[in-house]
Amino acid sequence: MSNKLTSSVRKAVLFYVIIGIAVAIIVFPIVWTFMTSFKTRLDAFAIPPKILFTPVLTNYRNALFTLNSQIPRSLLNSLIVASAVIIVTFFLGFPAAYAYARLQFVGKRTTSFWILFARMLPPMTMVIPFFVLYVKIDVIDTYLGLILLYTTFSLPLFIWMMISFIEDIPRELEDAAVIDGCSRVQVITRIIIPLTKGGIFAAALFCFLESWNEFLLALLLTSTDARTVQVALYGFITTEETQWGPLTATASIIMLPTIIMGLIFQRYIVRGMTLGAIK
Amino acid sequence: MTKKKSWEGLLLCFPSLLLLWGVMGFSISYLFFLSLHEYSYTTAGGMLWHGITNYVDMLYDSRFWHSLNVSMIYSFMTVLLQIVIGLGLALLLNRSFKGQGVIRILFILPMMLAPVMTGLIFRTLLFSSMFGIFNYLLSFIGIKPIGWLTSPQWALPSVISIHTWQWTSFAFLVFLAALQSFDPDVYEAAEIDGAKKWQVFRYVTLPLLRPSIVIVAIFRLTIAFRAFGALYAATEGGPGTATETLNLYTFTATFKFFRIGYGAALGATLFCLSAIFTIILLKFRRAQ
Repeated sequence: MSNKLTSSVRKAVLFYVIIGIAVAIIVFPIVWTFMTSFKTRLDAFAIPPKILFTPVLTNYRNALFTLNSQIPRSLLNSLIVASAVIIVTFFLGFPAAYAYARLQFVGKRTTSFWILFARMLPPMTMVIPFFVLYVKIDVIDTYLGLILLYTTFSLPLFIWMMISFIEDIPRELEDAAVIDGCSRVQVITRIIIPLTKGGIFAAALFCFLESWNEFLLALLLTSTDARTVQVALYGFITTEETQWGPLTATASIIMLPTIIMGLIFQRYIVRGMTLGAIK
Repeated sequence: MTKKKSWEGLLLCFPSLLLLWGVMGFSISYLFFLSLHEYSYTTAGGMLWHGITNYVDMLYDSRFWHSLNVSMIYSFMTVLLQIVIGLGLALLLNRSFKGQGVIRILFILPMMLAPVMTGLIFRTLLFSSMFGIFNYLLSFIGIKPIGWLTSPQWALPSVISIHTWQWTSFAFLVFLAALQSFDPDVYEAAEIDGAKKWQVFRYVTLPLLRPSIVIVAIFRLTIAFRAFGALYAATEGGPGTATETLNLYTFTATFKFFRIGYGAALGATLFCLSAIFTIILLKFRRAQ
């Protein structure tokens, strides 16, 4: 009798130990970056590493407010580009998603394959021809240049997610509206959009996140005017030294909105990822 | 509303298709066009006709073959690890327990970070030979400091582990969702038939999980094959070319050596390999 108890207690302990280790591994880099961003140079390089220390804001001040700092401008750039991308993606993608979800039309299968294919394109194979093109027509280092390419990646994702959200709405609602005299456009704007608001939000979030986190295209297609925050972040590693202070501070600033968004929309994120995996 | 085939759907799709086809079409054709030339500042327009010279050079280029090798090892190893670890965790956590909502939230976090940032964090805080936490922890069991990202033997495993850290949650979440969607009656029947735990796993759970495993493999392999941000931030392909994937080599050749034509040829090869790979995997999925 006592053996059974010990065995199940042992199992429970083992269970929580494994979970604990997994969580620690997952969370540690993020938490450590956050903590380091508030440390002085001395504290940050202390061995053994300090867990208790007096927090300072020096790194944030250096990252944001020094004379040459590119961070505020680059944050703005990232914000502008990512926002523009989701706006364009929505207006282009939503009608398309509706068409794929609800309508039959010539070439439906072929075109849906090509939409999927657009997402399979390695960014590197896009960046070389577009770099040459952009240099030739002087679109290098502009918002438009980035927005065009980011939208290309965003659209298939947005359409794919919205199709599933639109399919969740019962057709009867639309049929009733048509009987009441609604045109297609009115059906979309008055019924579909309000009912899929949550899905639109989640899909837009995904697309925003991808644009916000993108690095390769931004690295090569921008230099000073349109530089996004990820490229600016990378700039903290110079040939002389790694400016870990502003680096961890900037990383924390960049991470914060994405983490908060992740927390709020976690159900949608999980759904977006498992979509199609178990259907 | 009758479900007749109409042009209406095509019209709604038109702007999206126009943009996608325009960008895709231009990318692929101009890429191949460039690969048949080479950059030359003495030629008008900058590109000199080279025919298939770039491709021939590529086949003789040992650095190309090495980069292909690195790409394969990198992609397969990380996806294998992601699936094994993700599955293990999913099986373990497939029960109600205290705090499972929090766990799910926490597991999402690594995927929300920018890959380049992840690479930078690992490089400066964790894997740094002098100040990294990893070496500090290892010093407790008497292991001398190792330059994880700077030593030729450890660099590739280290970058593989960075990618694995960031994306295992994907496999975990997919498998967990799949496990929770299985009909418990099947398990009951197996128990009644007297099957042992590992038998249940091998003959019931695993076959049911196959579609999910394939999906995860497809997704993660395509992503791993073209990983850039974390790799570039962590090692830039170094030390030497120890972690230089085909993707990175294409980048280096085009934008560091400024051999645009040769880089385009590498890029075209990257594209073809990706496309072939994707088609094979999709066919494999459809065949199930």
